[in-house]
Amino acid sequence: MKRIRIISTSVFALAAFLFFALGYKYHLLECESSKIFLFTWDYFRETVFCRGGLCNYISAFLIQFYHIPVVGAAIIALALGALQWGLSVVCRNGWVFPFTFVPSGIYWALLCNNNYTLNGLISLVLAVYCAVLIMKIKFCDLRIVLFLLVPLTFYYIFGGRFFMYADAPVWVFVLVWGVTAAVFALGASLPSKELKAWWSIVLVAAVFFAAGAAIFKNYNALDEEIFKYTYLARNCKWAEIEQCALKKQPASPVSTNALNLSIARKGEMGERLFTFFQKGKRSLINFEEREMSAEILFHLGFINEAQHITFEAMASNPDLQRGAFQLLRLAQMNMIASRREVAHKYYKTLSHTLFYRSNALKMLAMSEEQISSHPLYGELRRMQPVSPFRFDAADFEGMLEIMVQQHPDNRLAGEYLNASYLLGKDLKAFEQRLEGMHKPLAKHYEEAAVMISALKGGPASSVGLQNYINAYNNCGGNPAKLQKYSGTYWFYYNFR
Amino acid sequence: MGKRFLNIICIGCLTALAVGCSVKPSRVETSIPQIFPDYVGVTVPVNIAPLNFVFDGEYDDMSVLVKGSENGEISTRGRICSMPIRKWRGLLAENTSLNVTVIVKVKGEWIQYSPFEWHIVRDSIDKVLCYRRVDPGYEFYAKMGIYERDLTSFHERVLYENTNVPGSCVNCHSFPQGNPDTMQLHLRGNQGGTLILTDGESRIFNMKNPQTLGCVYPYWHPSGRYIAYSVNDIRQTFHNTPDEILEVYDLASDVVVFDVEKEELLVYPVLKDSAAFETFPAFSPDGATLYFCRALSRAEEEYRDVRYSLCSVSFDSLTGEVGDSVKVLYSREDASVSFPRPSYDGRYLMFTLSSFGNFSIWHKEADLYVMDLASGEVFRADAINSSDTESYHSWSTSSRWVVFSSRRIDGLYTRLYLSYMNSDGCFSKPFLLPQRDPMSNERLLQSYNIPEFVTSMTDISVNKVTDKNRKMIKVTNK
Repeated sequence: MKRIRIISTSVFALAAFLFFALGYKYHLLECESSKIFLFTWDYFRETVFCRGGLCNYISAFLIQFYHIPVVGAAIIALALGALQWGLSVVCRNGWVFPFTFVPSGIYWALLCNNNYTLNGLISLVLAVYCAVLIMKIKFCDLRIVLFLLVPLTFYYIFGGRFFMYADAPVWVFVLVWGVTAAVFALGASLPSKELKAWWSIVLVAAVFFAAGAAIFKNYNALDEEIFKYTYLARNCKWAEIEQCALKKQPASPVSTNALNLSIARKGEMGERLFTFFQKGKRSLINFEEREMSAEILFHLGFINEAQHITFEAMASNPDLQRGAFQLLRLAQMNMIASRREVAHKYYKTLSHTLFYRSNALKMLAMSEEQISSHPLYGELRRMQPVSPFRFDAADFEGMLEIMVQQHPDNRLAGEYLNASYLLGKDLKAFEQRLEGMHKPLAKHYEEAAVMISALKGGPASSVGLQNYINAYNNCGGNPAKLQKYSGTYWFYYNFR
Repeated sequence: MGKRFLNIICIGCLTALAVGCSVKPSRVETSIPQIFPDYVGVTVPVNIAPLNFVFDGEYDDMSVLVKGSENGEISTRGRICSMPIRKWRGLLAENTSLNVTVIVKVKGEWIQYSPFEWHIVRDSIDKVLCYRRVDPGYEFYAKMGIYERDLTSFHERVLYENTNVPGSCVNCHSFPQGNPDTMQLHLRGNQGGTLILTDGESRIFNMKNPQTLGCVYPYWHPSGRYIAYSVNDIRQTFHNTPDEILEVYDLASDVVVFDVEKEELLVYPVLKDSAAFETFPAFSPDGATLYFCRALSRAEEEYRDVRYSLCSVSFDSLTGEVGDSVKVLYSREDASVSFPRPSYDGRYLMFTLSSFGNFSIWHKEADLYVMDLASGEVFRADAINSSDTESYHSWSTSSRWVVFSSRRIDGLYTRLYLSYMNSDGCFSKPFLLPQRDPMSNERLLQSYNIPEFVTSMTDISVNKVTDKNRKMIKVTNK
């Protein structure tokens, strides 16, 4: 029986590890980037000396290791396993044992939503082990005293904020703590009873199956994709973004935004934009998605607006914490905008973290000349707008026009402007852009150019366009029959 | 020869002082030490918290000797000069100035710097400063709140924090002449309303009404019966050059007065001119005059051309009526006035002057100016201004101290400075609000704003009264 218990706990923990390490890696990275843990007395004081503070402190300490997803997954797996093991320690009844997996299973399912973090799980684990310790005390009087004192102390030290998501419904709290308390009480009170091995295996398997169903239901593949593209874009991993897109078409506007940013950064907007699925100008930027919008604006040189959106994103973090990555970006933005003192303030904060420290110290040591000659920061510094203008997110195209007007050498903004005209099917505006373009034109620009010429009544100067026109005339309005042309601007113009 | 003699005397004095310190310097510098915050030569009230500081540079250790002009001394050792509060209070009470000697250990060598003075004035400062701490953000709010800080110690108390209701916001706390029993503040968000506390009674009003815009900037009448508000249609826009980040401006604004007793909002044609923006009301200490800022209204895209003048109108506190004529007290074509604040003795009026608009905190050129209300003369308060933003300000109830917000440290995060105004109207060098750990100023990623002096801690918890029902107000056109 003991062996079955050890094996089932190990299998459960291993499954959790594999799930988070392989299937939810980018959730962990996203969670880590939106939180911060500082090795400072100030941070300790501010975090610990409030209700539930120690639990928050421990969680924040552990969450920083999500920076290395394998370690993060191991931490979660250990915590889930520890919760189950703690419940099983007091459980002597074979019928109850399989249910010791239920609280961990519920919490696993909850952790599929990034608004729920380790805090609640750590709190549960500590509560269970505290109760186990009390159960182990043989002196009845001491047990009674502790029984009276511990809940209050525990509530102050570890409780108070069981879930970091303020809008977490009460029923979730009741479910998790109620089920845990019920399993603990049943396990501790029911008499010892051994089950036959096969019965135990069947029951454990049934609970695993139920937990798996709940986890499957809560698994958010779309968010995982969004977080993946966001992570890759933040770290300028343009080739990997494209590889991902080639494997599977991006399913969300954020992923498409990241993909288009990667294409533009590689200078291939004119060649490859329509190789991938596009849907209007929102394929370029979607201001409702703050994190990705900030990234795009950052690379385009709209540093102030990127800072604005990053502040907004930071204020929207579920637990009102400042994210480590968000602070890093703010520091970079201020460095680019020559607001050195503010940048240093952020870097000094980051120098108290584990994973951002070396980068922060390196940046703190950089001189103004070194920043100006840095391949990214220097370029973005040179692209800073020179004449003031008001940023209007509703007129992103207009903003790009101003940027290109003030900095004709802002290649990325130029690529975005071209793409915006093409995606918006504004061929008149694109025609004006054509005048300043070097020949030979990139594929999609050439397609647009010959199309403009044809639409003006001129001959279809391109064989490709003539073939497309013929195929279009014969397809009966069915785009499926024109798959050969799906990577052309003509196809986009007619069918998207 | 004389100069040489003086140098010898100086070095002799420094050496004598060094003997008194706990460490023996191996080198003596004739320069004043660079410390953070810059407390060198500042004037402090007799009841202020210790001016803890650090050396502004690379160093391993520091020894500081603070010696009273008449009696007593404090010596500290460590990277932070952190003075025991009881001893500090004794020093302030028994002396008129303090002599500070700083010796720092750099790469194993103890270096003594030329001592500097802290001047003590008997005009005490109000015990409490109430302020808001908020991220220098834009539309949404992370953790923010209103806090009360005991200026005689480092104790800070939360008046309201939004951690329980994320996304909520609270602003514009205001007290009549520093009275802690009477206050108002606006709660924004789903549970919004204007909270008014009068002598232990709390009421929450829904100030939204079809006749006026929403109430924003408040100022209490000294009687505690009225609160003047500006009602504003506020917009913000985002710039894109490194030097300009954000602009906040009005599309419309008027000034109204709320009768707290009758729960009635008084609207005056003279302060509701459709051709003008009226904002930032402030009553004179005798309650007979209402100061405010006024500008010709302009289209949204012309926000850079909006320049406010300082104006006043008479106010009858018995009837709640205002006079018919508006007097322009100060007006400039190249600059705009905001935040008029009369001193409580009625002698001066301080305001912020920026190149345009009214939201001066985002204007690097914004400086503080003072008007002598007797002569009408206006002067720039050079002693307290910096090359960066100076904006919101308040007078202490004694009218001898001012607190103002400034972005002089890093250009973004607003910090609070205190300065003494002597009987000649001259300001002393301002000093940063003292903190137990002076480096917390650098670590804190929030701005301080709306500092208001209060004579003692308020006896309320805003979190506990926000569940009350919102009262509707009556609007009366005068």
